[in-house]
Amino acid sequence: MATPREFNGIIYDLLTGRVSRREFIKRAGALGLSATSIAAILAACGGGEEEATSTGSSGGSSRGTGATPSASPAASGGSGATGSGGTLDRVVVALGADARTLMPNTIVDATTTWQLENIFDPVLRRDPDNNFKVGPWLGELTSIDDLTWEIKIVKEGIKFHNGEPFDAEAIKVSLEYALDPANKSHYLERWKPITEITVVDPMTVRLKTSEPYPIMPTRLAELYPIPPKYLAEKGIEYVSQNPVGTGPFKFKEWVRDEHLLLEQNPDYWRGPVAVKELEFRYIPEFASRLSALLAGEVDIIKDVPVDAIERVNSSGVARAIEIPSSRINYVALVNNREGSIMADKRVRQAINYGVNVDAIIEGVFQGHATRMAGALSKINPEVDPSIEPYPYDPEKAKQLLEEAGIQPGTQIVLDSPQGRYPMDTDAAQAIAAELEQLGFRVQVQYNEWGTHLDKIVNRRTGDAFYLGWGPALDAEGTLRYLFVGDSTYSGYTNPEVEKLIAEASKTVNPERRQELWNQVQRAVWEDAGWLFLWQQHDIYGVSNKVEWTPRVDESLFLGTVKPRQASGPKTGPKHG
Amino acid sequence: MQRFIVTRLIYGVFVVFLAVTAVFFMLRLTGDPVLLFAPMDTSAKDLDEIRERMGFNDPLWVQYGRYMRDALRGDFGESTRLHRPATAVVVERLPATLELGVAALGISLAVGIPLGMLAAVRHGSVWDRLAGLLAVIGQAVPNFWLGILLILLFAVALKWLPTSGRGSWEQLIMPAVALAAASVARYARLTRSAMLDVLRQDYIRTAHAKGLSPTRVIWGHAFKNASISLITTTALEIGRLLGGAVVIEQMFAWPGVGRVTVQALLNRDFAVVEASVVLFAVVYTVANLLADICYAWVNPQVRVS
Repeated sequence: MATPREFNGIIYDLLTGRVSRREFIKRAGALGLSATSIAAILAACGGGEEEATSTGSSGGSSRGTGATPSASPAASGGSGATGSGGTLDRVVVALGADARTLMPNTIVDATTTWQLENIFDPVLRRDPDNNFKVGPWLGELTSIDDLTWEIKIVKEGIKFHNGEPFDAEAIKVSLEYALDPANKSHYLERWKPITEITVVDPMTVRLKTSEPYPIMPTRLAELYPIPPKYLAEKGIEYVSQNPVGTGPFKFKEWVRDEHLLLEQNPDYWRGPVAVKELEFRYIPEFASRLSALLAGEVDIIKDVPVDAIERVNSSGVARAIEIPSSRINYVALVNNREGSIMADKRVRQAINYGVNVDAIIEGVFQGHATRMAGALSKINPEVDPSIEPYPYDPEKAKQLLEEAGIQPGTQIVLDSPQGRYPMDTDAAQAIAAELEQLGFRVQVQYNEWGTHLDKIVNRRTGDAFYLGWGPALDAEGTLRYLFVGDSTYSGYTNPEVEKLIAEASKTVNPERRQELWNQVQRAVWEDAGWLFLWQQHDIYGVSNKVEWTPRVDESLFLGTVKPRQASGPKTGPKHG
Repeated sequence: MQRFIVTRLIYGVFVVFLAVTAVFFMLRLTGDPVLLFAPMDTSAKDLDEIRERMGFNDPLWVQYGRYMRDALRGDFGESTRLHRPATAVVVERLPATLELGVAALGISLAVGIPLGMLAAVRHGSVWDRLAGLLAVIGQAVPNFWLGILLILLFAVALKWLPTSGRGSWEQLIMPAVALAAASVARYARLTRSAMLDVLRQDYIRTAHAKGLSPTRVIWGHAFKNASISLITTTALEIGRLLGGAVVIEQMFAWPGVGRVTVQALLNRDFAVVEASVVLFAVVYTVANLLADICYAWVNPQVRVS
């Protein structure tokens, strides 16, 4: 019996031109589809192709207005601060899921953060112009000594949307909110080392920690201040549904599972943005999201599969924009389990020599992924740039396996999630095929996401498991969680490495800390703790009416959206 | 009649009780819910603290007792995904699902029955064969497949209708049609065979013989009797439509109970799944109960047996 996934899959292939009509009819027939429905689908898809060449705007839809540039700059209320190009009346972003709450500092969930970061500003922020290092935003951070940090607010007169001034008290209250167990904040664990929060003056906060906490800048980049008076007056329940921040957009309306409507904050402290109204619309199915983009109903969609890029680019209404993401993918080679053949370093090295990662990137991702040399990606500001990828050398791999006494036909079980990452099952299959070239017999176990996590946490995976991690933009957030034996999602133990990691995690001096992280990176590379794979590329479908550059940190900050010059040249995907 | 209703009610309560219990134990077989909402950098110790705090470390029967006690009051606990009471999460989506379900049922009745009548009255004609063909297609094409086709044709290619969402009547058309398709087919086939049965009866020949107009014979005499079997079907059909809505709501971004349930299942948000399964069970049971009562009311023979 064919599953919905299979059906959608073949429609998809047809839409994206991956299969011919003839091939489609054959496959659809094999799935038990009647001739009538096959004919109907072909007719519908044909219609879509014809339409693709026309650029007519959508009619008949009550909501499908899409983004329309304002008639004249005068109509935009003289918002000269947006620079050249004028303003956009409305930008619609389609997301797969709703925000879980509109209260920041509560739930760790990417989709929730993408929406909140347009209403709220973080204390610190990763700066795309400075290699995505954490830099100042609402505040600036200084380390006073190993246990003391000071935040200075960057500018006087910053106000929340309700007029309440943003000050040191707001930072304090926001931290206290996250630290109160009654609020069940996911960030509680991350703020635990803080023992004291002192408001020095309205522009200054001091934080004391129980132990050196060098990851503080990263943590403050995910702290979004909330207005203290508003919170005290209205209560958490109300504020969670009626957010008030300092950000570029003000809250207007939220209908759960339907949409979140925001409007331009004319008094934004960095100058008003070019978008008058921003809507997040929730469309769970990718095929429906893509349809909405092609029909001109929405302006930005995320996670376009590589095989749909052509369809988007040839539509005449939108184009695919691509950026190498900070999210990394790897295969953990479980070295710390009794009886695992991965306990032998030579086997792990052999796998790194013997799997042709570049070929998989080309074959499975059509080039839409970037190879990683070691455990950190090239865009991670703390990467050791001297590390080179393992060269593809199957002869050396076989020789290492022979030295390790591995007989041809030895079985490996590889656990892979299904539908979690772009092309995950295809990638797992390709890796398995490469391993079989080395003489292994590989059994790939595809797991539903929850089951996959269960298996890793309870150490019930095979000798290897495929996992993604991100956004991975600092060394600690990756190395400490994935290369320490008793960490939740780790499959690797090495006492030397653990000692280095423990030291680095407590070192505040940036140079010393970087040196220690470099040592960790070189050690896990040499020890072949993983089969190092690739950074995935985030591919967005963006309407031709909109100019926008996505960020590597998977942030969906839309304050940078601008109208696109109507007669501009059609651009294809940008390769990173 | 009273005794009949009371017996049916007791059955109904028993069915709901079974559903409440089954969903509890089946969910706990799926795995650890904490992993799916705690951030991935949570340490094993902290994970266990969360489990302890949320009661997942208690013996299963203790958890079950607590669950049943609260469930009786309509309280399924807090959604781990949304940090809100699960009952509210589910109940606030009910209007959307009902709207979709009623629209689909309306289409099924309004199209399916006339189609079946036409096929029966013009038995063996081109109309009959056409209706038969439509019925086969309606039942053979999976609803999500039909849904995607409708979107491609009417939203992307022709731009007549919005692709998805809820709010205007245009947005209701495609999901309701996709959901109704199979149901239209079943009604058409059922009406046709029921009508063919009735039309062969002696009293129809008598009605014709005494000079009644064909319209009166068909609607006044034949359809009235044929409709008895449609009542039971309608109860079953409501259940099928609720099940189908799970897929259709996902496809068309329709903010109903089905979509919330899918999301909750993928995230092991136990409280929300429990609340929605119980809600589905209650709706289904009530629909069946009403059908039984209607059936008994129009056909006294049932009450005796």
